[in-house]
Amino acid sequence: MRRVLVGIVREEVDVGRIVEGFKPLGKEGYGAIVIFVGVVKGVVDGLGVEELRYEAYEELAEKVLARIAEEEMRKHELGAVAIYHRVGDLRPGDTTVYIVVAARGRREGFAAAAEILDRVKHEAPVYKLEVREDGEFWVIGDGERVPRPPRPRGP
Amino acid sequence: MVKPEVYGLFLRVRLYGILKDIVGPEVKIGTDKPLTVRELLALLNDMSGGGLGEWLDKVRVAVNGEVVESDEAIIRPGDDVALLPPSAGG
Repeated sequence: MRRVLVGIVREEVDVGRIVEGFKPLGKEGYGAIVIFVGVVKGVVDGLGVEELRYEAYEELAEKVLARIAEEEMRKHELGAVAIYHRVGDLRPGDTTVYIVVAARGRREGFAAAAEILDRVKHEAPVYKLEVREDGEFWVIGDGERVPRPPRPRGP
Repeated sequence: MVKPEVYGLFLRVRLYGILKDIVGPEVKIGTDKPLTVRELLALLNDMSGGGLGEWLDKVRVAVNGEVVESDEAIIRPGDDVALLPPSAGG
C-alpha cells in the first residue's frame, strides 16, 4: 500500500476506502486511525453562506500536500497519511478537506491530524471566495474576509 | 521592435484568489530580458493602476511551480509565473 496519499480533487473522497487501506497497519503497531473532514458552513457571523468557490494553484498545491504529509509522518512516526483538498463550487454541507492518519496511538493521531490541518490552511496554495447573502468575500489566510473587488475589464 | 508573441519572448503570469480580481486571471508580458521578482511586481502593480499595492508584501511568487523566496530572484522569458495571495485552505 502507499503510505502517502494526497490530491487536489473535484469530487467527494471515499474516506471509508482510505480507512480500509490503513487498517492493516494495525498489525505493525499503528493502533489509531484519526479522520478529519472539513465541511462548508452555511452560516458565518450570523449570515447565510450560499457557496464557497475554491481554487488552487494545482502544480504547487499537490507538491505542498505531499511535503506536509511526509514531514508530519516522520515527526509523529505515522504509519500512513492521506490529505485531499477539494476545489470547485461547494455548497453548505459539502466536504472540503480530508485528513486521515494512521498513528501508534490516539494522542499522536489527534495531534498529527490537527497539525496537518493547520499546515494545509497556511501553506497549500488554495483560495476561497465566500458567497454570502450580504455579498462576496475573499477569505485571506485563516479567517480574514475582504469584499470582492470589482473585476478589471477585459481587452 | 521585437514582437514578443511572435518570438515567444514573454512571461506568462497567472494570478489566483483576490489578485485575479485586481489584475486579471492571466497576464502576458512581452520582454526579451530577464526581470527580478521585484521588477515584475512593480510592473503588475502599474498595470493594475496601483491596485496591487497593499498586497505587495503579502504575495508569494512561484516560478515554474516553486515558490521563490527572494525579491531579487530572476525570472526569464518563457518562465511560468504564478502570483499567490495568502493561503486560505480548509
